[in-house]
Amino acid sequence: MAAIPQRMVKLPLNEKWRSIASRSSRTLLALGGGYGLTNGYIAFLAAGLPRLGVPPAEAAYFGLLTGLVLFVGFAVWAAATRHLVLMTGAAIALAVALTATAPIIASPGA
Amino acid sequence: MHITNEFRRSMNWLHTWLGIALGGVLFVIFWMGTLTVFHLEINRWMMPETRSVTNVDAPLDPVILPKIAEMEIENESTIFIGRASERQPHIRLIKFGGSAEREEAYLHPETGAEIERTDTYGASGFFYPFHYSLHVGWMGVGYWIVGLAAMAMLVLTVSGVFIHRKIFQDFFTFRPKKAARRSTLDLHNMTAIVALPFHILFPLSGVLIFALTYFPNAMVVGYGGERAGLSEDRFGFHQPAVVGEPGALPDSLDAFVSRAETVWTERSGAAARADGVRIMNAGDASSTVMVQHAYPASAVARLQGNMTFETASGEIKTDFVPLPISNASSWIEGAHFIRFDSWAVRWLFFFGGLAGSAMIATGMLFWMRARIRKGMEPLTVRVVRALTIGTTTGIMASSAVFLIANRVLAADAAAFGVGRADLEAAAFFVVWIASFIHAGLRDKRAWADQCWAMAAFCGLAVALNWATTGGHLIETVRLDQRAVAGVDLTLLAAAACAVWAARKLNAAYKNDLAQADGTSKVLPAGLPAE
Repeated sequence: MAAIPQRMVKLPLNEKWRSIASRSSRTLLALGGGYGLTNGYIAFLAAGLPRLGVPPAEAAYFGLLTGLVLFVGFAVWAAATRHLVLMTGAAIALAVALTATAPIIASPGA
Repeated sequence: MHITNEFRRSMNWLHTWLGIALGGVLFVIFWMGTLTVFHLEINRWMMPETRSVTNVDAPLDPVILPKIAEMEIENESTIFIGRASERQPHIRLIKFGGSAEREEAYLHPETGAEIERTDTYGASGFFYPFHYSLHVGWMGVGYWIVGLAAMAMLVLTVSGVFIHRKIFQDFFTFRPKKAARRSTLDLHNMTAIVALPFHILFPLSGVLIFALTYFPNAMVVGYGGERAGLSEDRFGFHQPAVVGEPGALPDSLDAFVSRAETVWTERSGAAARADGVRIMNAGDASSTVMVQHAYPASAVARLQGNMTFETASGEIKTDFVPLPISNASSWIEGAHFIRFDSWAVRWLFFFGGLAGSAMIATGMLFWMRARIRKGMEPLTVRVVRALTIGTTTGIMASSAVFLIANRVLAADAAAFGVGRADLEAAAFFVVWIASFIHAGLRDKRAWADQCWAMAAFCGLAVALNWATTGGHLIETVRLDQRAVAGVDLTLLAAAACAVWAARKLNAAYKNDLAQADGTSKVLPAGLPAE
């Protein structure tokens, strides 16, 4: 078997894995934040649009169709931003707020 | 727009990370999806009793009504009648609901004779669910893995576009004579860019089909988390409440079908053909008959409408027409299902799926080669190689074995407490697992080995089809059994491609050895061996 070329100076194993783990958790955070935000956005639209006369099923599917674009957009943007943790935290907080307000908006008294 | 190098590096990381984490799953999904494009045709191949196309527009009443009269029907029973079509030339009669077990029969559309079909899952029952659930039913985990992979695929596509500095140049760049690593990346880029619209459409529409599973918040507020309510509004699918009093069965189904088709044809201006009839609460006074127009031949959108009638009075209860946003969603979903009548588009999707599979495989291969160059541990190389080979060539060879098992197992085959259909599936999984083990024990020649195996399996499947059904290629063409002839021809083409790949891989391996000995300066040509 041919010798494996050693072209790069290898990082110590624990340092290498620490770097991978750190970047992996950042990527997972970006994806999780995008998913959470999308879920909140969909809940909000599904509750809010019917108040404007849109049929509920149409509102739900409008949220789903546009929500997928939001998810991809957020995941890509979050992976590139320097303030990933802060931005993902803000996105999750926004998602919680949107999900929590959705039933209030949908209630007849609102 | 100015894209900074830092942004590109971030995208590169995201692309690589997601590709490594989900590349294998994505390949499985793409490969199974590619096969699923022709799942009904593969069904014909696997169920020889259903190959002959007869008059698929024959009236339903003489065939269906006597069968329904023989059934034990409860108030809650639902009877579904799937009409015959060119791609599925038999009537499907299914009864479910109530306390009885689900019953399903395939009927000849003219005589009504029950077709004793081969006990098999067929492509619709095996490749199709593999595509969207990986056959992991436990707590819906399979659906979630596929959904995650599909959403990751969208991110991979977008990040992949950003990585490229010269996206249009890449479109025309494939240098098979260059170093193996370079040509692998060229092939990855080329298949990604050539089929870019498909790489966006497939995952987007796939996620949308199961969107209510992945994003349940859509139905939490308006429907209290009940999917049935949303389905009723979106698909016009209304299950009437059972009143508990006996009801009459319909006198004629053709009358309902004819009325619905007339309305749809006038509305759309194109000839509409109902594809299914559903008798709900069949034994109850609340019974209704719903005529469905779920997969129109002349439109991409998968749901054009349905019409529900009171069984007893024959009056129209609902005439459902999808609203604009639902229609947009139906269009995207319909583009995924490709049940509309266009063979050209169906083949385009098939090749789009193959391009996607090639893109994912070359991406994984490129990453593995890059790691090996950077000095990956030999044991890690072995594990990564085994996983890559097993997920790519392994699953392709196993798919051919599934077809072989379908042809060699006896009609009443049973072993280890499982029936014939499960034995076919078991053959697939045994060979797939064996492909991982083989790749782990062997060196990089495992690529070529498995390509040879795939070529042999594909050729054997065609030969066995001939031997067990008499349906060789000339005969199936003569009998106008296009589905069977198409599957045979595709298997032969796959075998030819596998032979070509195996020969290239062997040549590249020998060249690598010669280079290591210092006796050759020739760069490996064609497909790289690693």
